[in-house]
Amino acid sequence: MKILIVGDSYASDSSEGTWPYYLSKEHGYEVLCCGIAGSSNFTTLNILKQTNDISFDYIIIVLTNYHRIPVVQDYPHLSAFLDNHPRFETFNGFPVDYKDALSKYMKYYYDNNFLHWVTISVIKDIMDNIYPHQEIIWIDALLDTEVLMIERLFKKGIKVKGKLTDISMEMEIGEALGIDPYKFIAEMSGDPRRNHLSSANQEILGKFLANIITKSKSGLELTDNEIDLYKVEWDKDPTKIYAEFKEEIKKR
Amino acid sequence: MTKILIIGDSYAEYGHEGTWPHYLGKYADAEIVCAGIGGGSNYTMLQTFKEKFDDSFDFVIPVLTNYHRIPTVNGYPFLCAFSNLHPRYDTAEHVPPGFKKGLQGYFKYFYENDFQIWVTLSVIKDIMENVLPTQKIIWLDAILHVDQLNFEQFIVNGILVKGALTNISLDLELKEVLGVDPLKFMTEIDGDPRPNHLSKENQKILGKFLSNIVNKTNNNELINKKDLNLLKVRWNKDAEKIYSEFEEKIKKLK
Repeated sequence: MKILIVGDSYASDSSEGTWPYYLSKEHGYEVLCCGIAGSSNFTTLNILKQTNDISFDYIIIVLTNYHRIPVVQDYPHLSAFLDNHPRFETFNGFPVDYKDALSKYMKYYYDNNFLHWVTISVIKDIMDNIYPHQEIIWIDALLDTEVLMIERLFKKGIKVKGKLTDISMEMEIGEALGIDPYKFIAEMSGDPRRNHLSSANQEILGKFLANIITKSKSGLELTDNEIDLYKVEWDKDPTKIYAEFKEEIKKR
Repeated sequence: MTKILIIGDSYAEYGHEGTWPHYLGKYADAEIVCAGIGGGSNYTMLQTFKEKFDDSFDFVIPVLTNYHRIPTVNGYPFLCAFSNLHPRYDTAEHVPPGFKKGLQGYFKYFYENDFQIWVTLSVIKDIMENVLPTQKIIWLDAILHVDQLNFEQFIVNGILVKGALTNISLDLELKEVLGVDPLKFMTEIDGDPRPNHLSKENQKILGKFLSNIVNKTNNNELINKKDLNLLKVRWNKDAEKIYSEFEEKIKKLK
């Protein structure tokens, strides 16, 4: 069984202890993880077109914010850096004239409807570009497909309910640690958690996805609970979650 | 009565008497709704399509523009065309302050050729998906140059006219007949005085050319390759007539 993972930073690391690692480990699946931190949904489509071949059985698409600027030639890591990014004010790695160009971009070129349409077209294009035997698992990282009311688009594959930011930011940082997650991340030089999840929850997510794949492969019906991130028993131990940030906080 | 929607860029902007949409209506006995937007991008065209097209139309004529046109100029649709590739980029005076500097930043950090091409292909797909089986599309190429981009393979629904309108308005009328450098000439006269960028005689010829396609489609007659090829049309090449279209503008500038 071969699984391809594409998407943004929530899908960017498959080293030991990450959710792609646990997904692979659970049933001995072969996993290729090609997510790129900071990328747009258009980048995800491009990566899928470059990496997908007939040998893959499942493709996990991790969808990101639709407002991410899909095209930053030669500066792929900047795709995510619109002025609503939590580290927009504190990040010091921008090219010298980037912020000025971005402000002009927002004034003259940024069109919410256009970027929304781009994401819809990306989703359609993905469905048109997979092999007939392949199954897609769609996960929202930062794209709120329910709020955007675009659930009807997912005509092929299994759509996971819920959003990974609700786990990694709202639950782990906001609820478990009791702090403002966006302010907290902005204060650090970046999120030290691989794929933005704490270690215990990486394992839980990996197992959650492994269950979806195993059951769907066997032709068994998945219950609503089995495809709902909000029904999962996530680890909410503040000591464990805080430990993930400790080194980063000490450094600062 | 046949009902036709025309969408696209400045080549599809005007439908008044004497323009090609007017002649198309006349010779195909059709009601024309002409909704092209000067300077618009292909995405702008899609938005117009979604706004205007409904079950009452029998045909839609999308007039495809340059793929590199920036599709998102919030509140400034006429500026879609103003990339540094636009013939009047250096001379246009009606752009908002800061726009050109912003454009430089756009090309440095945000412009990606592959993305622009993909957007245009997605626009084409979107239009094809949203036309009923009883409705027909006639794809007209203004500045996109479908042949060179190898786009024909993606246009699987509708009738594709071969050749681009710039081949007529710029290469034939200005370069071949008047013997001027079309882009330099356009810059010098500060804009094209011809509605839809075509001289009067050729507006009529284009209207007739398209009405033939519409009439043959309506009558289930065979449309041959020549009927669909702009480069095989006998265009008007009378230099005096073509020049007269620019005379007033040149006088004013002098």
